[in-house]
Amino acid sequence: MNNENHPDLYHISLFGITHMQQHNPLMVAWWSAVFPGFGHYLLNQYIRAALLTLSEVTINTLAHINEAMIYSFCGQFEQAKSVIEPRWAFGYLVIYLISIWDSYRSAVYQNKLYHLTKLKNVTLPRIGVFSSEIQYLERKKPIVGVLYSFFFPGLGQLYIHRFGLAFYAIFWWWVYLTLSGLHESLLTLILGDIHKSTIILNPHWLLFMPSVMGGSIYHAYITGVEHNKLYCLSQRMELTKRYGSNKLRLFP
Amino acid sequence: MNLFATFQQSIEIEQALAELENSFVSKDQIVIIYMENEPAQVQPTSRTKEIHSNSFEVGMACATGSAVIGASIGFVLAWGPIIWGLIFVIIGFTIGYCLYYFRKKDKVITLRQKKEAEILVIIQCTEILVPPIKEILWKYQALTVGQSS
Repeated sequence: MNNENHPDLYHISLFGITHMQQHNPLMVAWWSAVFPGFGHYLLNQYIRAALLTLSEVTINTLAHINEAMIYSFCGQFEQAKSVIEPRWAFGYLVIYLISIWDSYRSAVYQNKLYHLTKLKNVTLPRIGVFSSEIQYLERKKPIVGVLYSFFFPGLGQLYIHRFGLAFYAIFWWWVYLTLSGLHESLLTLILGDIHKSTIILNPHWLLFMPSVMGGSIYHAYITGVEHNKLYCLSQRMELTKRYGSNKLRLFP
Repeated sequence: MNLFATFQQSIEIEQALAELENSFVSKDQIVIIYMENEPAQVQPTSRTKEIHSNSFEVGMACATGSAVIGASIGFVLAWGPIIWGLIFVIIGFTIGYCLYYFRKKDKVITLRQKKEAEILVIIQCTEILVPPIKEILWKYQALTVGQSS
């Protein structure tokens, strides 16, 4: 089958490995719901994903969505209604829902592209040497990426060579840490003052953090798993090309 | 003589092959065989054949969602948002993991060897070359090595 017009399964660039993979579209949609943009990160659409996350943080802050969520989960619906800013909330809702739908739709389409591309069967390089970086596929331990991102979101992305995203995430984690007061609150909690540790926290900025950490862990994990698959596939093609024509005669 | 070695797919196998070709045998004295796993009836949506890996993904997704809820209601509960957030992480992860695991565990391979022999390398060589070739194979993390006369 001639698949000449279809792109490669992955591409090694200065910024890391961009690849196609088999997705569960519902999982991609779920991560978009957790944090708009995260679904698109999973789809390797890094620029639009980053822009979506910037839009999420900005509009969420202007519309006080996180505060309204906290009041709603606590059953204080009157306060939820009064804290939310209608000027920003409706637009927020539209972007939020469309980004979920868009990532779902893209995942369905990328699955088809992945299927087509996989049939193409060409050897791809596993290493790229650039003037300021060396990027390569290697066999990863996905659980290491999980631990990195658990200790500081963004480090898992460093482990899978996606350094642009890594430092973007690290920068934002510092922002969240500073504005939420999480580390000070943790210290107070460890020292035994539960009441004071709650007061220190800024609810709005704290509520971003579980989503960001979860997303960073998930992204590092599945990307590690996919890199392993791509590595094996590519190595297999290369070794088959080199040794595949040799015939084995054990019983002459 | 034929030498047999099993490897995992890694950069080491290529180092071993390169070194062998460099000093002892030619390219056409080497045969590579890929060892496949038992084909499993895997759902097209699951990422790997390993059930724990897929369960982990679902667990993480649930843990993240429930952490947001836990941290929120923690603001009005006695223990505060951090502790409640963590409690909800554990609850959410356990629920997600178990939901996937117990729904799928009869359908997929649950047990997996720690190190699978993914590649079998067969090298044809003279008897005198067997010890140095074996040494290279072991050096580059061959899992098992055997020989036939």
